[in-house]
Amino acid sequence: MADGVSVQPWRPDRVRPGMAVAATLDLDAALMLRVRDGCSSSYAALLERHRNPVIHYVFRMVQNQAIAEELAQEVFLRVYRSRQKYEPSAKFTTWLFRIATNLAFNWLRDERSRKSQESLNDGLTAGATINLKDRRPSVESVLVHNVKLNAVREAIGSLPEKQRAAVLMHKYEEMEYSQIAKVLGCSDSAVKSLIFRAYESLREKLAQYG
Amino acid sequence: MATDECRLRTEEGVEALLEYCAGRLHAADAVVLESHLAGCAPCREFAAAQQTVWQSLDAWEPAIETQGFQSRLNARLAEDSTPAWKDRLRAWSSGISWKPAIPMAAAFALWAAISAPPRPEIPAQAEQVRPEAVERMLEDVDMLDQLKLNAQ
Repeated sequence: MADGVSVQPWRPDRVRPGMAVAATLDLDAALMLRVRDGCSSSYAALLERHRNPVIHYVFRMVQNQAIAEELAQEVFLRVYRSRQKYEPSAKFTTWLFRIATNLAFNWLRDERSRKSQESLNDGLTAGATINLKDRRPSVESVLVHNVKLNAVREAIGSLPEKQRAAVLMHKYEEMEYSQIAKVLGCSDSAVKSLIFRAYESLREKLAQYG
Repeated sequence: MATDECRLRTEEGVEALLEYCAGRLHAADAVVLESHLAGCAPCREFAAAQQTVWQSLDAWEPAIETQGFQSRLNARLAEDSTPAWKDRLRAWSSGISWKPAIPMAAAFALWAAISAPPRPEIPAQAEQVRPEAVERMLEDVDMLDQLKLNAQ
């Protein structure tokens, strides 16, 4: 950033003039082009728009809050570091989620290898996932909700990495198959196949919660 | 796609059912699909199971505190933008234009060569004595001794 690295809160009025730069591009791409030109408020705007979706996506992938935040920070750092090379050839969110997905895949791979070395058993694995806290007031509803949440987490966690990423992007980010294909670097038909198989597996595992 | 054909038999049909359960199917297509569901038990079962999955996934809303996220990111950005001393030195030196320095250095080298005092000549005595020469001399001395002995 030309005027320092601290990201100031986003003020929409600050970014409007930049929209003329690329009227045909999506807002994110236009903001990113302004970031490339040294505009710190545009970076803050991108952060504000995508921080929670990225953190939540990475959290659902790795199922660990501290790691999710660490990886999400790395995502935005990489976005910032790559600003000079940025070309709006693809949708910004495709690029963003590709970075997030690759980081999550790498972490999951490292974690799997670490766990296999340490020979952790299933009990410890289940213990490591207890990071989410439900804030509902009723103890009974908390228990019911937590049982369901654990089932959902375990069902998602048991999916192969690519199926997991595809279904999370389809469900929570409402991405089209073609965009998911670009994020994962595979064909549209491969993504459909991943998603169909993932939902099939989830239907079997979550049938009792209907 | 015929409305009376089970949608589960084709990829497009399954895709339409998934999108319907996600509430993303176009309204007109949704009406057609609903009329099909009324008469197709396998598709109804599929849709019910898929809606259960959808509702279960809806319940999973991560409660992550992101208040400190921005300040931590700012700190990392600041750290990231403070280069190491090697990078700073490289950046500083890359800003310097070396072109004017080249003729200056050449002129200095020429001046140094001209104005430097002449080297003193090495005296003949200071020449190094070679081992072969010593050996040869010793052989000559031996030969002279033998000649002396023969003469006597």
